[in-house]
Amino acid sequence: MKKRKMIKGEKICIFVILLISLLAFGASLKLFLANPGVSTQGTFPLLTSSIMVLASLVMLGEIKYLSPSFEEGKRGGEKLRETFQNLFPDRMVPVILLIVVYAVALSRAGFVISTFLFLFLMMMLLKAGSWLRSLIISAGIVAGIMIIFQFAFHVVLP
Amino acid sequence: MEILTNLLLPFTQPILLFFLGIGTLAGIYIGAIPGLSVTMAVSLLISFTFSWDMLPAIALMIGINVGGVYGGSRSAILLNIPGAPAAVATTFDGYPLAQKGEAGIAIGTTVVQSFVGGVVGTLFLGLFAPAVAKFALMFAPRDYLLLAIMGLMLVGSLGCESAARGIFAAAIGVFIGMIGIDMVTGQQRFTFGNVYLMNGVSYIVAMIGLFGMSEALYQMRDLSIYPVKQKVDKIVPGWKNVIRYLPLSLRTSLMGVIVGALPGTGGDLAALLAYDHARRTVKNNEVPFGKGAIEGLVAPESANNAAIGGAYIPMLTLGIPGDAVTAIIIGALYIHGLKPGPMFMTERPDIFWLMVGGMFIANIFLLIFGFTGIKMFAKIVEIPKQILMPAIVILSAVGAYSINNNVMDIYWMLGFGIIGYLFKIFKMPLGPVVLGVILSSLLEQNYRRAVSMVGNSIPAFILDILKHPISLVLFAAIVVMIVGQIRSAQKAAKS
Amino acid sequence: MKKSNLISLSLAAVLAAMTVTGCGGNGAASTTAAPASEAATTAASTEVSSSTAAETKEQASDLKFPEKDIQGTIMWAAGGACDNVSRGIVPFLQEQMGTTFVMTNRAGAAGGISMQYVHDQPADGYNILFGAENPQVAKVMGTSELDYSDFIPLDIFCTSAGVVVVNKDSKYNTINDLIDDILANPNKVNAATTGPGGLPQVLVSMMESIHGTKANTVVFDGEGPCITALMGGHVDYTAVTVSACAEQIRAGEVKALAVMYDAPLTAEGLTEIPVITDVYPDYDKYMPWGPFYGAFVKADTPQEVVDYLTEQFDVVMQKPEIDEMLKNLGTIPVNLTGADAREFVDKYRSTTSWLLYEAGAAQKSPEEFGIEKPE
Repeated sequence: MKKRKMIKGEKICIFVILLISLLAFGASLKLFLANPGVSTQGTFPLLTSSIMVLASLVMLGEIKYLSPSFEEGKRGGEKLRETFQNLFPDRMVPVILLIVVYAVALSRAGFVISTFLFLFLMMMLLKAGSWLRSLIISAGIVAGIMIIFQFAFHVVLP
Repeated sequence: MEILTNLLLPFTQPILLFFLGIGTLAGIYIGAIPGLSVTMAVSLLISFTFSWDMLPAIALMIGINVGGVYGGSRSAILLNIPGAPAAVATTFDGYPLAQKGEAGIAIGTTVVQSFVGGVVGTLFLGLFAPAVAKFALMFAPRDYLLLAIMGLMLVGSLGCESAARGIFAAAIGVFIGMIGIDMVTGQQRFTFGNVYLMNGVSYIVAMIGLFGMSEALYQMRDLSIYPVKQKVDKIVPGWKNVIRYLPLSLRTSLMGVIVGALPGTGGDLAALLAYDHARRTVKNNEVPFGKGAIEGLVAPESANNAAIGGAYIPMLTLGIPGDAVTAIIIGALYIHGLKPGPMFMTERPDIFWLMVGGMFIANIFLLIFGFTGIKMFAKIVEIPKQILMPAIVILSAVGAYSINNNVMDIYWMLGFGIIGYLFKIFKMPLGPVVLGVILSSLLEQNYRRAVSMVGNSIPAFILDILKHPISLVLFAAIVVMIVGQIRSAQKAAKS
Repeated sequence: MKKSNLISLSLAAVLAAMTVTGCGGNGAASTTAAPASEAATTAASTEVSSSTAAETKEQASDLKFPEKDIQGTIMWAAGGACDNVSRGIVPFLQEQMGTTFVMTNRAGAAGGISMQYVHDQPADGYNILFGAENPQVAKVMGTSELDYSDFIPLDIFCTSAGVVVVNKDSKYNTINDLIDDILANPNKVNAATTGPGGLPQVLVSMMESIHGTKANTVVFDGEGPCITALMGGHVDYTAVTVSACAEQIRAGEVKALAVMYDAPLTAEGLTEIPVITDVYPDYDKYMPWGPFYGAFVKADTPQEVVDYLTEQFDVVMQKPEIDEMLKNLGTIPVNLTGADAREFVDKYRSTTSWLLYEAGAAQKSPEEFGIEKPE
């Protein structure tokens, strides 16, 4: 692997990956032991999750050779904060929250309202221009989608 | 000569020409919108064209099929969202080209290459259909497994930071593909009793989330990067360029025809194998693969359009669908009173030759219409990110929803989008994950079939591979691929 | 406080509020959906025949149904027999009722996915399930907790029969050859099936329960792939629906050893296939038996809606074009409605569930679900 600076939070990321791989392995093992054999429903998952675990371990070993991502002497709490900042710079937190809100709203308020609000709010968040312009563009996009998908293709949107 | 009359039927019945044209044009734009697929369009057409005469209905469907497979490449290049699974490989070098401002050249190349592939596919359909069909039948489950493994080898070509990352990404993709009800035993795997997980994770949803949505999220991090102005003056590749890539496009088109003719595999696998082939065989490309190599567009685009012709082969010679779209077309033929099957070519040669001729004409329309709307599409990329990115999120959501009219798919897609976003930040590769999800069921099901067919014994399975010529050839190819990969890794480590 | 933090907090508050208030929005969702789809109906409906529509609406003038598009969910993937039958019948319905049917394939879990979907919708007649016979063994096979006892059959369109086929160059020339060979080589003869609950697997189990044959099953994605594998010589035999192999049999690409029914097939080119009950009378206790296709709505749908829809289906099914199309597809039109349909599906469930259980292929016992043993 090329020598570079470790990305903030990369170690944690690889550990999480290892954890997920171990969980997958555990679930596969359970499945396999209930139906042992060469071509049963547990065989391939076991094989695949073993590869996942092995690969994760190798990845852990690889990042040892990267130069550290934080300056010397930073405390744990600060490191965590910087990691978070890197993953979700100021703008991204409301963006992702808005996406989650949209997902939940979709099944409650229906497609038209949720999508229109989402587009409008998102554009305002990202500072796309005057609110009037964003309103019109949002409405336009929703209308366009409704026409193409629901009307022409009979996809019944929620 | 009857054959000639039927081949040229669209010229004596201009209405057919009209529908071929409209179909191709519509297909291009349908394929270009992620979420709208050719399969969807064709299945709607079944009820829509029910009361029509059969010939215009068939012409329309062929047109949409040809246009649609090409169309998927447009959004793949411009937005990194494959409009269809067959266009996944097109994103690898297409999107980087768009980011450099050369979307025009990219689109122009894909049009021409799709035409080349389409013509090769049509030629094989017309000239060698029965022979290709017989050959395709000889592929046993172990051969499908070997092909799927070959597809997986693409991971090595995708240029991840480290082999371990690429392998992990592919493995988790394969694992995700195994969630759901097991086809063989009917038992639930990794579903935690949740009804929606029972159906598994659709690879299209994973694709839209991991490629499209994650890219949109990632782009939102730095809105100060203004979209690159696209050069749209030099779109049509000159003759010289076409000839230059001809050896490659002919090889990959051949691959496309064969993979398309295999029932159960289609344009997506063809494109992936073609891309891999290009990576391994093209040595002196100007731009490295993954950064905008033209060869990286030539290979998949010619392969996936050739696969259309390939997929029609088993349909018209054996009555077996070569892929999802031909499955629907078979249904349409039944509804119109035809009987697709081994006797189709002898009982209704008129329809057969009409379809061959129609496909050829559709490809010509593709060449013409493919060059339309490029400026308009390229301008899409120039829309300010603040508007474009939210729109992509919505489009991805709608696209994910329209696969199964299931709101859960939207949630899955959003989840994949966020995971993909995190992957990108931590330099984990995304391509192999999608590859894994796409190939998961092909790999596992054929492994289980191949092994259970020889009585569940691994030694017998290996012997089986060595005993049959097709399997032996495929196996040898894989060995060569692995050796080549290890060698180039060693070379890279030394430098 | 930074602006983005403020925005984040307010969004989180909105999220919490929505989670707490629960399904208040659902009513809003259906009313916003209705006007949109009504607009789509009037604009997109191409098959409206004004006089027929007016007539039908006259008769059902007290019943305000249907007022919008009807959603059809097809149980299996595009191109299969279930899909072809359903999509073949629906255009006639559309024309007669003056209503648009929006057909969507929801394959998966041997019918479980489509059943779950229709079951999740309101029981108002606007969601019709176009299904095959597999749900009737779902409970004992463990593929779903639902089956047709949770639905009301509107019309059973047609039935079909299974045929045992082998490769055209196969060493087996009669069904006796095959059975004897399997008995002589337990677990060595390869049979292609479509998984638990699928017709091929049920037929293999049926053979096992009568002869004691133990075949080695290899699972494929559908009846089409089973035939493909057979033609390539990769499996020794399979048993699929007539429609999946009719053309191949006629062309001589596959050999049909027996039709799993108690009477010969009537379709052209298939009449000479030996009837299983002639060769092995033991099969009589199961016959007549075979896959079927029909339309269903969720149980508790109002009776007037059920009656209206049933009548519509009944009229369409009697058209000669439908009859011809279904026969072309290799099926036997039966047009069972009402109590006949209910009896038919229940009988299928009891016969097949117990068959599978006794052959050791089922996950659970039919007794657990109160499924009666067939006489």
